[in-house]
Amino acid sequence: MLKFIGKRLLMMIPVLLGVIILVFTIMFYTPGDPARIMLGAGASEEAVQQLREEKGLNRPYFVQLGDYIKNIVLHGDFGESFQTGEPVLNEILERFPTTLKLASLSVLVSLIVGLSMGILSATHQYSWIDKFATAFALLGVSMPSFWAGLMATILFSSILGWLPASGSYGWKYWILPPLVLGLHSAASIMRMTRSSLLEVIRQDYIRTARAKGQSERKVIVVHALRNALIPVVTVVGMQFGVLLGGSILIESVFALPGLGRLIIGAIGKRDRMVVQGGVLFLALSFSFVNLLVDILYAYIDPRIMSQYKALNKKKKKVSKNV
Amino acid sequence: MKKKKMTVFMAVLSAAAIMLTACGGGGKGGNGTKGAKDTLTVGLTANPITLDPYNTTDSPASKVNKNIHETLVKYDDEMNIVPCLAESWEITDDTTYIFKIRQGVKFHNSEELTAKDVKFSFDMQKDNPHAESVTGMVDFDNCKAVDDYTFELKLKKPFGSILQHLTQAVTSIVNEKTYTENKENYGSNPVGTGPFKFEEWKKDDFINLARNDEYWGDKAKVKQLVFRIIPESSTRAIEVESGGVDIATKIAPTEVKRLEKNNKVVVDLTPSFSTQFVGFCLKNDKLQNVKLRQAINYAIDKEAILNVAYQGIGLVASAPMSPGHWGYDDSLPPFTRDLEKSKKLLEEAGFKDGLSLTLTTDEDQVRRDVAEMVQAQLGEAGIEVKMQTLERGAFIDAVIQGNLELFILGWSDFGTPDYGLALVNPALKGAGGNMAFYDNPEVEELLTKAQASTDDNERMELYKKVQEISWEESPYVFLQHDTEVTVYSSQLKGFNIKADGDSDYTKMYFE
Repeated sequence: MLKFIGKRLLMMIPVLLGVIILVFTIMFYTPGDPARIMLGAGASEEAVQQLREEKGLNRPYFVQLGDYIKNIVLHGDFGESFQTGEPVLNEILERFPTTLKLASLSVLVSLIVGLSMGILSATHQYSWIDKFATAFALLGVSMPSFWAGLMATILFSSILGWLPASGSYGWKYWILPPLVLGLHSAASIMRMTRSSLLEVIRQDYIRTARAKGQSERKVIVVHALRNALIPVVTVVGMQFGVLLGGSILIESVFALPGLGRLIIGAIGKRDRMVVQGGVLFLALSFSFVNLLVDILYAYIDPRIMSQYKALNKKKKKVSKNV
Repeated sequence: MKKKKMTVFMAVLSAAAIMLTACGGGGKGGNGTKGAKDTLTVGLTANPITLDPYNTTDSPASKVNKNIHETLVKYDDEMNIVPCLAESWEITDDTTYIFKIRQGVKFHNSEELTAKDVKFSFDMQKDNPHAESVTGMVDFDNCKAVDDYTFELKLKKPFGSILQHLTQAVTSIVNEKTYTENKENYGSNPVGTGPFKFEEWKKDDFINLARNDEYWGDKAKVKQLVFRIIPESSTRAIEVESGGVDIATKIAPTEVKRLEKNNKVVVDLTPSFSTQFVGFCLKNDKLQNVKLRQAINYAIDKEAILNVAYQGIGLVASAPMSPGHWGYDDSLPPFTRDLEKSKKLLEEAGFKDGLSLTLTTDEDQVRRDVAEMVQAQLGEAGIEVKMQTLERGAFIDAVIQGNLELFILGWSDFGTPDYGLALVNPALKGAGGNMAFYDNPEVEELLTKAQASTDDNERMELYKKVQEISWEESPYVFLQHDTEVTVYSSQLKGFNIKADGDSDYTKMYFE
């Protein structure tokens, strides 16, 4: 297992390198001059030129890219923000806890809602519960999250006055944003749980379990759900990754100081170092979540665990033969 | 066994959830929740880049900075220049200003303000690309602190609007000692003489300021001033309705009707110094043709655009400067729509069979709505318009390089016609403000003369002449002068806002 994790960690290196090169290239060739944006439309060409010189923006593409990668690999230095002059890593770490918290709470909401609705609609197929859940899923998927967010604040903050509309200064502030985001992604978890569970329920071993006289609850929760969970875990992992990078709109609507807002602001200002650093950081988090999901597979399904083990053994044998 | 693993899994999950919720509690800074009525909370549109006044001209930064730092002179509510850190000043000749510095003014670190700090602050502008309009004019080597409370400002050449420029945050007076000792971190730890002291800044979230009890002027009525960064206009408005913030700046015109029905909030509409326009890039041969530009000007229905795209909030424009501006020429009527005239001019211009032009905007929804209306209106006059939307940064780049044909943009001024008329100043083509690349030696001469004059009446005449010429030659189609929409809590007293969008928060309080 450890070997498997180690290998997966090594495989992240080319992925991250690819991300660096891709994002760097896109930002490098995007029209819009960071020095000009920093000094404003009214500044003279000489002043802009001087700033370009100062920040090393005049150097050729390969020199800048090489320098960027070298600084990351050798010194762990992600550069400085053009706008604020602060180290990019500080800027990112300042915002990441908010984003992580929002994503985690949203996943929690979507897990609770999605799993329970999925189970209910699978066990009560074609009943009104199922129909309600399917309608809910359709609504959840098709409603844009920023619109849902605005509607929720109008209702709960402006009209009812129960919850604050934006910010993050206590537990009350952490109810609406995760709910809005979570319900949005609960829809796909619900649908996945439903279809996966429906498939499992029809299998022979479930009939056997029922024949043994076990209670329906036990049959579903203990026997069926576990095997139905693999695709669900995949979806949850993906959702978590998406939420880490994709909650930008919700961060804006609820004025949460997260990573998404940092990156969006930096794109607008062509603050390349911040965009590169931010995207790299998100890619890294996404890779870790994926790894975590793969490890979880092994614990949920013993067959996968044994596959991982078999893989190691095979490798050993091959190396012995050589 | 299986059951046990499942339980462990669920337990880990819930533990993680509890941890996450727990570590989030305890909001930083006394943020304005209901009841805390000695705290004034203002919703800002964006995170300031830095609070070092010399390193940015960004508008959220300047809004916050003007409470922490002060300048030699400032604007009063009617946009007249009044004393601030300079008690009085004397213009001994066209290029020499002697400022008497106010005595007994303390910086937030308890150091006393002297002319030396003023001299130091001016020296900081010497190579400052953010303060170019000032740097080009001041003769830094000959500026001096005559004694502790007298500062002599020397100019390279006469500059009529120097005092207006000295109201801007970029010419703030800092404490020499703190600034030199703490240059690296000054932007996140500023020390000024203003009515509020800096306390805490959580980026993209909030900035806390506390009342300066040692302030030399009228002390603020509230104890705390909090700026909360809320990027969404709708959220800012909802926050005022729900009591989360007391003042929300820059609200979208589309929100106004809904908000006016709510008696918990007051909607303030103050005409501002910014103007929206359709620009012609005269680098194109076709657009060099005055008659074509006039034809387009007559074909566009400004009234309709104001009523539909801006929800009737604003004023139809005829010139780059707004009616509240002292340099405004009120004798020039806006071009009203006249399709017949437009078609005739088009024919005279040699485009009898019509022509095709590209109109570019940024992603701003209101500007895109305007563009669609312009497209339809010009279509009626026989001009085919292709629309193009660019991302903001790319758009600005294309505008100042003169790569477009027609474009929609706005221009904000801070009360000096030199800046307001930069749009047509042939000496400032491209980045300097003349985005139409308009050329006219007469206009250039008039503006140079006006800039050098310190006689306001003479300047006014010169500016009027420039406005007349540019009205006739139409390098821009001026659409409307903006109105700043601000929403504030009906419990707030003493609300005020000036045409440049700044407010004096010291006068505001709650009952």
